[in-house]
Amino acid sequence: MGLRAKLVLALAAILLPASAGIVALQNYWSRRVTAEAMAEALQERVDRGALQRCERAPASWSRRHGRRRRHRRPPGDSPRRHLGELAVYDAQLRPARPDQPPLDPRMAAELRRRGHAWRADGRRLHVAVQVADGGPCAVMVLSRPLAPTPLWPALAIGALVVLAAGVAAAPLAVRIRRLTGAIERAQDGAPIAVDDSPDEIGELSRVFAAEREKLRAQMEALRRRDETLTAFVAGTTHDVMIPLTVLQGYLVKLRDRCGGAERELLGLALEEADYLGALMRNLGVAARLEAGDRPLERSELDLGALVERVVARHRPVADEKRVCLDFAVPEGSVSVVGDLTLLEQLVSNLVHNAVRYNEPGGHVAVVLEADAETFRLEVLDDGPGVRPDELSRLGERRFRTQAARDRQTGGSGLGLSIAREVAERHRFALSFALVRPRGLRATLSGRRG
Amino acid sequence: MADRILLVEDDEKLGAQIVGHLEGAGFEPVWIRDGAEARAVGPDAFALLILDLMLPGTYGLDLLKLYRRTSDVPILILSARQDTSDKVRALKLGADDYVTKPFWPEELLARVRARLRRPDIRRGDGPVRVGSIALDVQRRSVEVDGAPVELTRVEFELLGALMRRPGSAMTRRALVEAALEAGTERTLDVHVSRLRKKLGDAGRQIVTVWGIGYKIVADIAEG
Repeated sequence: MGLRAKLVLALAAILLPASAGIVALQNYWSRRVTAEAMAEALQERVDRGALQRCERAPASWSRRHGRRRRHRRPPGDSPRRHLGELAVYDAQLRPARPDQPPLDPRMAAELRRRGHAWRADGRRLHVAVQVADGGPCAVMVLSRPLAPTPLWPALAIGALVVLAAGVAAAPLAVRIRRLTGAIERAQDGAPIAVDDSPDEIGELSRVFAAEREKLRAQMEALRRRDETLTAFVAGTTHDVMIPLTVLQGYLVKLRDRCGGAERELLGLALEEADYLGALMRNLGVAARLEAGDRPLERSELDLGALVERVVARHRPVADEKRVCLDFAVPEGSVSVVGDLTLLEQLVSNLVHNAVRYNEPGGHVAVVLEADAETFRLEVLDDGPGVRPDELSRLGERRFRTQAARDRQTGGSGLGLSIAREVAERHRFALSFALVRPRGLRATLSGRRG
Repeated sequence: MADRILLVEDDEKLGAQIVGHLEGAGFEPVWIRDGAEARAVGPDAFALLILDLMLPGTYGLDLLKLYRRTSDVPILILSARQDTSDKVRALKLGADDYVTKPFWPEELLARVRARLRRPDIRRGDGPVRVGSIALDVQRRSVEVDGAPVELTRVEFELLGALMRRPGSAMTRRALVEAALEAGTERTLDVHVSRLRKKLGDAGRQIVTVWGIGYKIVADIAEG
């Protein structure tokens, strides 16, 4: 229910009973005043000798004055106006005439207590006055028709007020609605248009606008800090890449000059340097993925060339480990739309894992196949694989917690989590399956374009 | 004559190492350390260019644009950033390939060799030679060290498919599609086995590739 409807209903609920009450009160007071005037007029008549006249012949006096219709003015009795119909009772409240109605018991009770009483019975007003302590005319009751007090003016005023409230509330409702709209739009970045009236709604809109501005500034500061941090990670990664490349060069040179146990040690050093490189790349990619909702940098890329590049990257370490790494791609280019760096890191992580966990004499095969609409990339190895129950958990997004530091699993948690996330962001499917007699098959598939 | 390779790299140690790797692999490298000097170089004097994108003073991509304006020489980009737009722009501007740091010496050399080899790939129907095997599609003839070898149609198609991309593995499915009309991957092994036998010693040039299929190599030691 709208504000306006609520206001109108509330006003109606208050005003209608209230005006009925006022009308009732007004009725009561006007009757009381009339009754007092009637009692006074009666007393005046008694003072002028009406009591004595009545006591002389109560029944006939009563009858004469008890007629309802306008009557001829009796001589001696000189009321200026017709007071109403008179009924006469003795001290025991017995009527002077048999055709008179008995006195209302409530009126009788009050009369006894106070010497006079009045009562309205719907159409007529009755006033009783004890004019003598005894005798046949001890109590006189004057009655007169009541002018009905109409209820409708009060109701009309009430309705008018309710209507006016409804009309008056309309601009307020419009302004509040406008403010609501402005706040809703503010979520899309639009500033809140300030309602500059000096009233409560204006105040509300000013507070909202100020709060929103504060919030926006805080968000902006956070975003800038986030950007700085991402840039820092990217910069640091970049700074590490050059010495790492040089280090790898020295390690290879050293390995080529050594033999025996030293050569074996250098082989292990090479693998560690390779792991370090993969970690740095993954951190760079993770920083990009974690940097909020930045969109992918999509472009058309050749998946075949990408596979070739990734295989060339891992072949030195595969050779060192005596793991046979081979690949097959279709003859033409396999163009796919995606983020070059992210997809390359995805494939690189799959190949890296396949090589790293394999044993000397093992194999890794990377196969890319495509038709006009879809592609399918498989990384197959004959390494130890994983336990069947671990299969579904491969690539769970755990790197926000501790997978990156978990070197017991070779940090593969980070690489596979990134692979999973990059695949998701591209709407590609990434799945893992065990192969017989041993090994693991990672399959990435999706739509081209 | 050794291929001359231009290296534009500002990092002293890395540059020296790359020069060492290239010399060790039998190339003749020329090393330029800064962008201004690199701008003055005529790219066509080299068989291949290796260009670092992060050069002080000159934006690597500008240099790439400059070279591409006049030359089609293969250009290999060195990149250290996990940033896609740089690589994509480099490829759009005409770079042939890129290598991201950190890289292994062998990795860089493999990329260099692949780029230098690329224009030699035969796409037409002319005679092809891999090691001691020669195949002529138009005459439908195969010779091993000059001696003709009789092959069935399937064997000829198999050998042809492999020889079109020497050194590259072909999947069993691709070979079945290329050579066997109604065959399966199981009968493929039978055909390959017969083909190897007919080629004699040269049959060892056809190498089984684990998890993929087969490939043909020029030198048996290479496989």
